[in-house]
Amino acid sequence: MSRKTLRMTLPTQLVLGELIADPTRRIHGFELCAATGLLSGTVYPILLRLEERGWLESQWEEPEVHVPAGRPRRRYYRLTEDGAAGARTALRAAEASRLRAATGLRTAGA
Amino acid sequence: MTANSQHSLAEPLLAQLSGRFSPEELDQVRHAYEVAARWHEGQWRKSGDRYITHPVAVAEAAAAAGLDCTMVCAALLHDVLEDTACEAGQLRAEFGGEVADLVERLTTFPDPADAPDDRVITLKLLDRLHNMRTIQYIDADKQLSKSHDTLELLVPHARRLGLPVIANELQEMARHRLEVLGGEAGGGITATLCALRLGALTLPAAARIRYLEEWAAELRAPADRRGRRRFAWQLIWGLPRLSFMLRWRQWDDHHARIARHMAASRLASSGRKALRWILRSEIRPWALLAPLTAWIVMQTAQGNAGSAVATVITLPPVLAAAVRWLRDRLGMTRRHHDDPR
Repeated sequence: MSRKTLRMTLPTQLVLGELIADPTRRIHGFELCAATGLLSGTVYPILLRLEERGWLESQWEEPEVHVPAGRPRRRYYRLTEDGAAGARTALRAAEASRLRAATGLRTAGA
Repeated sequence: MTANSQHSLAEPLLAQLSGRFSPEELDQVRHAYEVAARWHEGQWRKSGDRYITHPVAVAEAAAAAGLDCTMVCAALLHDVLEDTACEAGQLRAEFGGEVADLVERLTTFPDPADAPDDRVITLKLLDRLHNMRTIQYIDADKQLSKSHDTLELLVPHARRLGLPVIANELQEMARHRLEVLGGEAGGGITATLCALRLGALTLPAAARIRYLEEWAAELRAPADRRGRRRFAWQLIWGLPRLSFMLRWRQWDDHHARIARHMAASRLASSGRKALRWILRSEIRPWALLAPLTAWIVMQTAQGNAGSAVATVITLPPVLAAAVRWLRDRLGMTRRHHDDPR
């Protein structure tokens, strides 16, 4: 799976768009669901795919943070350098193809 | 008899300290043990052990940590004020102000009016360490509150005091307890987590543990119960897909692919080897084929004797041709004195 190209589904684009807004930011799953409006059942497979692809890295929250907060540790995701570059390219390409489709439709309709 | 068996309980502790403590100090430890054992006489741990086993275990941990005589004595006596009729004045008279003070402050810990003393906290940590090790015997709600208290209050103290080994053990045990009990009671987390845990059974084991831990934290993120439920149900809905991806990854993994390929070629090569072994001789192919031929002939004979005769005549040459063809394919063709059939 990791060897094949990443399918740029709309949810994947939404996730990447959210992450690329601040490429150094780390984010946990629920935060991402809330920000993108995607279902949690959709977000985790996407995160897994992006991580397998090397676009994301994930880390457990440090004990200094979650122990005083009195909850289990969160898993945080962050874009890698590859991921940030790949995401920019992929999002631009997706944008371009959307534009093409839109203008194509308009000329066809006119 | 009783005195004897009580005495033997403190022997490992005294042996542990004998090199490091002076004879006077050892006497004091022995005395502290006797006093504690007398006060706790007739009390039992939830585990079914005599109560005195607990202060002794705490004192052994204190001794192992290299703490001084005052701390070891305080460890032995740490529960007499809280759990027995013994009074602070009696401790003060017999063991001096320092020991009595430690035990008193440990009994009221954490006291907002009392600035926390590192020696008191150290004793508290050792006390909790043994309590957490034997926590399975107490009520579930007490297990929960002790585990939370351990994570929120004691683990940070242990780290601050530079006791990472104790901090890690406490943290692991408390976390494990919370995990076993299914998270916080109330707030709907327990039930939701149970549903998630059931759903997650479809995930490969290693991934399951990781995701359940991740989701246990995420379930605390939504503001209300409805949000949590929604988050969990969406997750469960997405589980088959996640499970498929994880399992596919395992199947598709480069190493797994090589291993599968090797297993297949090993099987094929041993199959070929067996085939060659059979074909190498004249007898072995027919030893296998003759019963088959006989069975086919018998089956045919049940319907029509004529066809059976035809089979007897035609089948062996066909089989012989097949054997020859196989030998050719495998590069085993004999030279001249080939099988005339």
